[in-house]
Amino acid sequence: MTIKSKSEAWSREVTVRAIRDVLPLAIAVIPWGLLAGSLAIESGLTPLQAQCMSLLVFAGAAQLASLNLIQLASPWIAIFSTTFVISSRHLLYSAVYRQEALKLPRLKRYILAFLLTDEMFIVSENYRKETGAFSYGYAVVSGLVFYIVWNIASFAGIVLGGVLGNTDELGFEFAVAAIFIAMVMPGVNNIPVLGAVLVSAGVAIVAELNGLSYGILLAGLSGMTTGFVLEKWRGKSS
Amino acid sequence: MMWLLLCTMALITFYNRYALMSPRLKLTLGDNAQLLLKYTAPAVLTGLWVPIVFTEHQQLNVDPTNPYLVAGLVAVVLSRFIKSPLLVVGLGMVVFFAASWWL
Repeated sequence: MTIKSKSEAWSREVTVRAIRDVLPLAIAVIPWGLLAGSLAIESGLTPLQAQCMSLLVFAGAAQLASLNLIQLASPWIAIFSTTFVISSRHLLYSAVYRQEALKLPRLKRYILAFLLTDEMFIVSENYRKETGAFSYGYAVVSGLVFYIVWNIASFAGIVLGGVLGNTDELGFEFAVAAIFIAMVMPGVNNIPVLGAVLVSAGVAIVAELNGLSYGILLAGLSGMTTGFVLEKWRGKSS
Repeated sequence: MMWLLLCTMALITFYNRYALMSPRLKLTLGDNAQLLLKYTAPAVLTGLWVPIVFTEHQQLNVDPTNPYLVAGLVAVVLSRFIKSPLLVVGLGMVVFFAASWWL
C-alpha cells in the first residue's frame, strides 16, 4: 500500500495534473510578483536582497505590506507583527496537513511547509476531494511551480522597476478574487459549507470595514466553526 | 541589518506554515478537530475574496456599478454551472473589464 501510494505520488500523470491546475493561479499573481520586486527596490533593498525576500519569505501579501512599512521607516516590531498576522492563516492550512505531515520524514515535512500557500492549498485540497487521498507529490509540484513563477515575476519586477503604473485599473486584484471564487464556490453544495461561506463572508466584510488586520483569520475561524456546528446539528437531527 | 530583517521575516512565515506540522507539538487532532478543519478551505478563501468584491478603501461598495461586485457575482453564478475554473475566471475578467468601461 505504501509502495503503491509512493509511486502514485510521483507519477507523471500527477505531475502534469498539478502543473496544469496551479498554472492559472500562478499566472494571476505575476503582476503582484512584479510589484513585490519593484517595490523592494524602491524601498531601498539591493537587488539581491529583493530577490531573497521572494525566495525566502515567499508570501505575497506579507511582502507587500512589510515593504510599505519599510518605506515608512517603521519599527521592526511593527514589520514582524504585520508579517505574522498576515501569514497567520497558514497556521490553519498547516493544521489541515498535520496528519499527513506527521507520516513524512523531516525534510519532506519542511518542503511541504515551505511551499504552503493559498494557491497550493486550494488546488491540493480540491485534488484530495476528487481522488479521496492526499498526494504529497501533487502538493509539492503545485507549490514548486507557484514558487518558481513568483520568483521569476519578482526578478522581472526588480529588473524592470515600476513598469506597471496604476495597477488598480488593470484588474489584477479582481483576477485573484475570481480565482478563489472559481476554486471554492463549486464545492458549496450542502448546508454546512454554505453556512461556513456566508459567515466567513460576513465576518470578513465587518473586519475589513473596521480595519482589523487579523480579519482573514477571524473570518476563517468563524466560518469553520459555523460549518462544524451545522454538520453536528444536522447529524443529530437526522 | 536588512538581512537580519529579511531572515526574521522568513522565519515568521515559515513558522506559520510549519507550526502545526511539527511532531514536537504534542497534539492529536481528534474527530471533532478534523470535522472543523474540513471547512478550512471554503472559509479562509472566502475571507480572502469577499473583501475584494464587496469593499473599497475599507468602505462597503454594493453600488450596482461597482465592477468588482458585478463581475464577482457573475463569477459566483457561473461557477455553479461551468466546471472549468479557468473558463469561470476568463469570463469573470471579461465582465470585469466590460463593467469597468461601460458602467
